[in-house]
Amino acid sequence: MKQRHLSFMTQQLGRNRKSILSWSIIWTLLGLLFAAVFKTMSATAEQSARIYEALPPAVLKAVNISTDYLTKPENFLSGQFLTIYLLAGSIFAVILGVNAIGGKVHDKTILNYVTKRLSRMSIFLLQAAVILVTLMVMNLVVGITLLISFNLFSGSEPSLSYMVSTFIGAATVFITFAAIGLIAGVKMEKSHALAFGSAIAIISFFVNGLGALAGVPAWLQKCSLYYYFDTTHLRDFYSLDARIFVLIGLSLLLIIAGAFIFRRKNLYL
Amino acid sequence: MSSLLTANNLTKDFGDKKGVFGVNISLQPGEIVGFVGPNGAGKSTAISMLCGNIYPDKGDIRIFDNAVTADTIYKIMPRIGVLLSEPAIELQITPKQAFMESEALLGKNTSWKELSQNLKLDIHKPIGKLSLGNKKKVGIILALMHAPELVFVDEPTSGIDPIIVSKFSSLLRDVAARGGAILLSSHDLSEIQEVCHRVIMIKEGEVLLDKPINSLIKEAKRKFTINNPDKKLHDQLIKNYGIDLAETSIGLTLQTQDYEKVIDLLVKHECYDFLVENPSLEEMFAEYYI
Repeated sequence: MKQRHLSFMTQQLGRNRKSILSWSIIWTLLGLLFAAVFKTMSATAEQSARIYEALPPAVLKAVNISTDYLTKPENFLSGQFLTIYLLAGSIFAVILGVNAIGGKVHDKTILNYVTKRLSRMSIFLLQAAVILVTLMVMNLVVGITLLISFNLFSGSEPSLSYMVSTFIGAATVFITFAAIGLIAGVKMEKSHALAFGSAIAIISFFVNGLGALAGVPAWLQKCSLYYYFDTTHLRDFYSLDARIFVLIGLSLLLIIAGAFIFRRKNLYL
Repeated sequence: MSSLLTANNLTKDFGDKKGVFGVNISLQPGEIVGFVGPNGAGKSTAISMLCGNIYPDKGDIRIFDNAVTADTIYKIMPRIGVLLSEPAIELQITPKQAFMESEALLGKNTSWKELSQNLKLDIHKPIGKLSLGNKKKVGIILALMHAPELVFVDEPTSGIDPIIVSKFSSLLRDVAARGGAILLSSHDLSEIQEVCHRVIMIKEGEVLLDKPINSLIKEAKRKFTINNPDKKLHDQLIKNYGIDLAETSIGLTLQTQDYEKVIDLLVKHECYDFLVENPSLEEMFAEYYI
């Protein structure tokens, strides 16, 4: 990597500083809240388990809750926390992806980069790398915060292998949505790209929940991107399912396609 | 001397007769070329193709003797400066940050400090909080700080005060004096007349005229205002230049290319109360803007 490429990445990471900071603060607070809630609720775990046992298993599966979800922090995190975190993070990743190229085309600041000694291909790929680093940092901060807050509040922290797998899985999901944002930002108007990317995240989220219900065709769930990060497998085995490679492959494909589209794009400024 | 830039048969068809059609442009070292035309004539499209923002449908571009496309132009970008009508800079950063970042991306030392002092720019205030004129100064510095040999300028001086306009003109002349070339697109024809050596007029996507400003002025009609001509002179002028003459309350006005003959006639009739004016580019190009 040349010095100017490194400079570009540093500059762009600097631009994402505020996003990283606000994301980290919000999820640190939520992490603390979840740890405190876990401590309180786990004290009444038996009563809660009886309530959940009364519900149809398909409904519990659809909302990603096991009957023993208050017995271990891993079960608790795989339920509500991860569900909210994945959806919020996906939409955030779409915004990051769209702004990286589409936003710069929209406000014309892309000119400041295409008139420097940077090829269009490298601008796109470096922006993808910047997003990757940004999402990794954000996930890492949230992961560390969760470990600390569970330790502080509940006295039982999630296992490291669970946290690492969650970190990699969530980051992969986010990178996939960021790649969707990147390619949508190159092909569409900024506002359309944001709406398109967010719609994919929200529809995917509901399709994944619906697909788990009895009577709904299995293929429907496979249409959801969240299906490929199996949180049930994560909860039970503290490791990632091989399906995650579908998301890794899709991200790579979208990023490479986006780079080629951006290379040929006319920039009407 | 070889051209710094040659564009042949540049074409970009947006349909509905909009776009740029078969445009040829060449820039020689030391030359400042004005690029003029009414709104929607295709100036910005042509400049966007030359600096690699738009792929032409047809035509080829050679810069510094290299065939370039939008995909390969980045290799010679450190030798090119681009200044757009609207400064395309992130508003949350300061000019200093913008200059330092650009320097890093260009990979060469630049003169942004000297230029900032010269143009009296506050480099510590976020760009979003600067006035339009100061934002334009940031754009000017970004375009010229790396001593480019070829500069594309699109509507540079709208919104900036006359002193800065004059400094900007002087900076462009410096580029030309170093052997560089500038393509200056502007609606301000007095600025073009003052700074440029040659002018290219484009209308409806086609080049209508490409001439040195000196020869344009030489070929243009001069305007005579003749006060109190005697009867003989009056009749003689009407006989020779009837259709180009206009009566005023105290004499005649006349527009003609035969200015030497008119002066001879005036001197012959001992009429010295007259004024001769060179036409401005505004007057010469007025018909193209209709």
